[in-house]
Amino acid sequence: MNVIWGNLPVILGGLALTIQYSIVAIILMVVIGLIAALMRLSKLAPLRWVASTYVEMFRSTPLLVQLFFIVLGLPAILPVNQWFGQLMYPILAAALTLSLNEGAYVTEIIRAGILGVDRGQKEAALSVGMTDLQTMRYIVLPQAFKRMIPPLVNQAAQTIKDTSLLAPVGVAELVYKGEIVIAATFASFTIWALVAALYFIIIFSVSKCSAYLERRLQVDKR
Amino acid sequence: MISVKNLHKSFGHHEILKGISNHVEEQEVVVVIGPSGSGKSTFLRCLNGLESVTSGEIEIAGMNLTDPKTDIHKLRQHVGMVFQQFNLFKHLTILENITIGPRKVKKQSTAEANEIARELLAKVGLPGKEQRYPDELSGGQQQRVAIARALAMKPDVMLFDEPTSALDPEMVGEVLQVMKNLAIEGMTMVVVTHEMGFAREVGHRVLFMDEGYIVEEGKPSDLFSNPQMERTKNFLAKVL
Ligand SMILES: Nc1ncnc2c1ncn2[C@@H]1O[C@H](COP(=O)(O)OP(=O)(O)OP(=O)(O)O)[C@@H](O)[C@H]1O
Ligand SMILES: [Mg+2]
Repeated sequence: MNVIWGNLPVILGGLALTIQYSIVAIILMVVIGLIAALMRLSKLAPLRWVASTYVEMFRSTPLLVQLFFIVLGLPAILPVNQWFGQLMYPILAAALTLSLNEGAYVTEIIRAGILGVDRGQKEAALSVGMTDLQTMRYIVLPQAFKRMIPPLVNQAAQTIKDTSLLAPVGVAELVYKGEIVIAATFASFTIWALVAALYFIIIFSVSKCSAYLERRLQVDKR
Repeated sequence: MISVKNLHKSFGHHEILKGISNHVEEQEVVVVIGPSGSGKSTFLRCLNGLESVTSGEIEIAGMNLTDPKTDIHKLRQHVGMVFQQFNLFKHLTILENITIGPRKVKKQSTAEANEIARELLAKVGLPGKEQRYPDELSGGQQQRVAIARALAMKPDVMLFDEPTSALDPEMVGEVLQVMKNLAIEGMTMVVVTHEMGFAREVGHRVLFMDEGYIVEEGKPSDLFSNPQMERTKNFLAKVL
């Protein structure tokens, strides 16, 4: 117990970082996913190719390898540490890589949501003179969004879990802090149990929130 | 108002429209009939650019649709369309369904758009439904809202693609009545329908389409009572 109380500030500091990375990555993954989904559905073939290449590259390699490659591999051939700073580069690169990885899955969620909207809705919007962009913004996306919420919340939960992979590339967060505390105290069992419990609390609440939203949306079908 | 010259439309290698030419006058009500798969919907959808044409020329509401320089969105503001499945915006109220076009496309103020929408709702016989959602209305009511939505853009022409085919029989009349009133007010209309009574009573001219051609056309009274072509006779024998 003393081990927990004594090191709680450090562990909670790690938790705060984990939450920060999660929030940044969740926001970015939605932005990236939306842009890539619109590109995948574009009439312009080059945009479609770029977007599907992106999605396939990030979905077909492990996140940990992507992180090693971009955070640790790139500095070996590019002076990125000078550009962004020795301390900043790993943090920025890790956050961005995580967001791009999750964004690849979000792309498919958003694309499926858009394709799930009845084609007649789009035709009706076009027939009153709306542009493709207006049709997307005012008619298709609002309808797609409702069916996208449950899978997006699940992806957000996944993203929180995936932030734990930032530790191996040297980014301080919950797992990283846990390792530091264990190195000093040797309380391996207690600290990993604590770390797991903290992840559980956060992710379980997010999933519950998803279930709640799903129920709300079912009652109110609009 | 509408002038179509030698319109061809193919999906892949399958030619659906095989050279359609026709001319619709201002204030004219043209009814298009024909068997399923004859290309009626495709023809109508070409008229507002929902389908791209393969070759030929279309002029509508004073604009050349087949000229690549024409702004298709601008053109569609002048060409209203009513669909078989209504296609009301499910996530919007009835009022928003009618006003979203004028507000977003014509940049009308919300107050002005609401005012016009209320008048139109009264005109199609649905006052007081402003705050309802589409799925709270019957099919006939939804289709009347869809007509109001198209009218809110103040179009020069209205296209109807089987507007009553998805309705229960007891609701067909209320929709046809709204369309009849529009015709009396002088709206230019192209109507694809199986309602021969409507064609006879409201139509100025009937086009009979089959296999991608306009096989025969004429005044409803002439075409129905005295069809010239064998295919027209066969079709009418089945539906009349
Ligand atoms: N997007 C499309 N891709 C391929 N073929 C199509 C497409 N739209 C229509 N067709 C084909 O074109 C033909 C004519 O269709 P269209 O819908 O114009 O007929 P219609 O006269 O309106 O028939 P109905 O009375 O059943 O509505 C049909 O054989 C149909 O399968
Ligand atoms: Mg049809």
